[in-house]
Amino acid sequence: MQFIKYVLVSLLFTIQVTAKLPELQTKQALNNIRFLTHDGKFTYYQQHNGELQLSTNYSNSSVMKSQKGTSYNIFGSSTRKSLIVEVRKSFHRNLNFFKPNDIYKIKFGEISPTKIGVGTAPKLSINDTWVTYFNPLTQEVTAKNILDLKKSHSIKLKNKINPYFIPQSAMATQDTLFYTDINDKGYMALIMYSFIEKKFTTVFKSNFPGMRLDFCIQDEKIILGEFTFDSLNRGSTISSIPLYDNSNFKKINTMYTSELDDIGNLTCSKENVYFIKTIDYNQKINVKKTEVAKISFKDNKLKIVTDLNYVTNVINMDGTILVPFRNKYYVAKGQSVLNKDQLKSEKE
Amino acid sequence: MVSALYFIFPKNAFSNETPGLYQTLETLIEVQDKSFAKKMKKLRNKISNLNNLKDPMTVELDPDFINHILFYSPSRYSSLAHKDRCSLYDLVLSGHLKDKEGQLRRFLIKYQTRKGKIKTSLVSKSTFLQKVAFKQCPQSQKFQKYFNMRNLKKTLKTITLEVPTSYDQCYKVYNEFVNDYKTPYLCQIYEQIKKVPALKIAIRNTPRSNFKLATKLKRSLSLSNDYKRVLNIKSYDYLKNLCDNIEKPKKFCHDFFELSFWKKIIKGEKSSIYIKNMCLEIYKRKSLTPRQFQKCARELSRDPGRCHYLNKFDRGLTPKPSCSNISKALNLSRLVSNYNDCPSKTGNEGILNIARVINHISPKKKFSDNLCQLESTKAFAQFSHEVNDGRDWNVHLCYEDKLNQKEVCLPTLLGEYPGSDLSMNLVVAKILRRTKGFGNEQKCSVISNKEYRPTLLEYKSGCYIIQSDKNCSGTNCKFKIMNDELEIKHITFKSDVLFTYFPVEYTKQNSSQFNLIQKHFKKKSRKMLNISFVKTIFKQKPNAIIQGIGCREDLLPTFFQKRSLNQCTPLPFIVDGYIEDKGTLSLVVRTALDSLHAPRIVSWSYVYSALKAYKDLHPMSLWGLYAIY
Repeated sequence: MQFIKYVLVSLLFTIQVTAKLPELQTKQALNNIRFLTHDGKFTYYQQHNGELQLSTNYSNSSVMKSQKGTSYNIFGSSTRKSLIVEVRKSFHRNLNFFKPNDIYKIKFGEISPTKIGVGTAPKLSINDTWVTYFNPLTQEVTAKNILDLKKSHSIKLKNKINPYFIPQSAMATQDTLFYTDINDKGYMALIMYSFIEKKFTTVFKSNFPGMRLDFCIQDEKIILGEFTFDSLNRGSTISSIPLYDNSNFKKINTMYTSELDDIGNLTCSKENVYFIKTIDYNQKINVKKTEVAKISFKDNKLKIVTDLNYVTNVINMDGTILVPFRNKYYVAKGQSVLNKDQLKSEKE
Repeated sequence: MVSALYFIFPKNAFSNETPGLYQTLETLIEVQDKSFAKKMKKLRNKISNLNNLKDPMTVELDPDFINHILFYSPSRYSSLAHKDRCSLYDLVLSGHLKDKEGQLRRFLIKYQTRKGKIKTSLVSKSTFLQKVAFKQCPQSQKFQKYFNMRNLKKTLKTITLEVPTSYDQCYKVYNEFVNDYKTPYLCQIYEQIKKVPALKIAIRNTPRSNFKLATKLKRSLSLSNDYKRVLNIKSYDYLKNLCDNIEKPKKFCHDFFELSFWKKIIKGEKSSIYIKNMCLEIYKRKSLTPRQFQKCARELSRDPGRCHYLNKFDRGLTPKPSCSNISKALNLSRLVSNYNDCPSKTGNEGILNIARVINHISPKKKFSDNLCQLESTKAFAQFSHEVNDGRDWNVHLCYEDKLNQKEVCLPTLLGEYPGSDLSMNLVVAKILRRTKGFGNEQKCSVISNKEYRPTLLEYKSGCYIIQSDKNCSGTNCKFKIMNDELEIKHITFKSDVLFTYFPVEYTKQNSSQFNLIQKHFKKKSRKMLNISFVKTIFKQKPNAIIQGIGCREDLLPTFFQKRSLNQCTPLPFIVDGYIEDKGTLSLVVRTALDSLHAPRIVSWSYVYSALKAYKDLHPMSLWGLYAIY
């Protein structure tokens, strides 16, 4: 049966399988690094004493200091104007899902942080002018203008059914926030909120309860993945929804479907959408064989990128597509050797 | 089974050429259908009443007719026709055999007339039964009588549905059923009861104008309900297993020995505590009778999707696994869990996990039926007071000791827990005694915002601690204290629960909860480095469980995503069983976000990745997976 499904998927999309991916090589110990530019010029890393530092051009500078045991996460975007730092104090000692973390902004490649709020899962939008994040304690999604922190909008989620739900959020224009929410029957929806009109529009509602929506906004379209949480056997779909000239978002172009439950975890780049695809599923012991796959925006061609069997995540870090697997990071796109110190040539 | 096949494909049906299995089958069906249709067309208007029948014992059913009905009848019942012609008639009488149009109304037979002529004729069902079947098999007529509604109750009393105690015995029981002429009649009862939901829908959807159909459906529903009244739940389940698996002895026996966890609850082999919260939510009641729990367990057993969002009382991560996966996991699970907790209301995943471990290694017989979060916080706080004077339970009510000019803080639970000195009502009363001359006989009560009605006489006097309904967890809560309608403002609340689960510093290893539990309960531990360690410990130590901390983004990748380099959120979890298939292993996992009674089956690969990612960020490079026993 699985074989038939696989053949069906193969017929719908041309699948190509890639060779082994190179490992990411860095100057610093990889487990200390929190952000690395695609060319290796800027490295944000943390120290055990709770300090976040920036290493660049043979010099180190302190970005921020916090108590021992603090952990940092840094998020960027393709615009490369700002970075968002999520500060997690008492990382090993405070095991509380609902504790919001401090969120700071810093200019890309610089060191002066400004606190912008508390929450988790921050995301930069619209040329790094807005940031969206979620506060698990208040259950609010907040959109804040980075250039003018007084410009801020918060939406309280309707979700009552999953206390541990972390919505995805992003902005498409200065006025519109897109975010995911769950209704009391377990249906997830992608919702658009207009700040000016104070109006909610359902962009897409999942077809079954227990489905999960992932999305990213790329070049005037929403790339939306509909996946399942766990062992629901509802299959997977990835679609593209034009942002403009699309009344009530009725125009939905299917890019990919599979009868298997993919993990999903969509990550967009300029040319491709990356996601975690299920290749095989052993229902008896609930084990999925999963790989990173990418679909080209140009021709909808599907390509399996990894051959690691149990991949669960894929990250876009400053344009470098990274595949975390066990304690290694594989480079699916971008430069993998970032540990060579070479003096600039005269031409440069 | 082989003989049944011969019925369907008489030897002459196989022609010289065999172009391929599928094509042959298709061709055969076509040939059979054509031949049968031709015969039927010829005889359609010549229905015989068999007045010229010479000897009923020589009557035979037409082979094409037999092939036709066996083809259109459920294959599992067709297999019961292999014994002799009487077994086929029993299937006819019990309604299991069908033709292209559904229920059998006419029979195509070959018989000898009184003049000695061989004739093929079409006869009505009643003619066939009275003049042929009951003459050839008088026993079938008796069975029909025994199993009609009037005699059914009496008949069923004479039939034993034997529950086997071993696989060998089970196969013996199975063979007895297959060879028993009464089996089709027993399955008729099950099939009729099974129709109830479909019949109800059909009746609802049938327009009143279609009176004939509506009456027919209502009559059928009435019969189903009559059968339902005669058969108890256990017998229905037994027959369901038998009739659904009449061709599959392995599956039939599997149901007895590898029972779903829900069926074990129905049988009383497992406690209903496992389904209490889900069933209270389904039935929207505060308590349920044992019979209602059985009914509920049956519902969970039948509908795998029912469990995903039953979360009103557990307040855990949703969707939960399917009911079938929860059942599978609970069957493999060994964690003592004779109580309920509620993850998101506890307010700390570490506390919840530690409480689950403590309740496993030092099980209690009685649990409070009070606030669910108190089960976890009380276990943790009490343990903390026993091992290090409550250093790790940093939830306090404080007041100013004016005599000694210092602030005094007393540890408290955020609620009433019968028998615990840390109960909030007792702690508040203690402080009021010291600061406001509260009498020894005076008591305080903890109530919720919703319960508090200041206008009621009941609340005009006495001490009430009124907790906020929103954002109130086991470690943090907004509340106010009212004593004789006056708000008490000199008692302040402090909460900062920070502790190490596994050691994070070499110099302070002894103060981690992991080490304290081992020392206090005199337990041993072993690091679980690979799947062999896991399998060995579960085989060797029947009470061993494994506790761990890993990154949630690797452990539950469909729920939590990684978006940045080295992103990790530590999540404690317990492993208390495993399942293996062709060398690949999955574990029975309860993360501290999961409901206690809804464990997940998680691939070892995910657990390994979660541990590895956490190890990389740990100051001591800790591999956070230890068995405790």
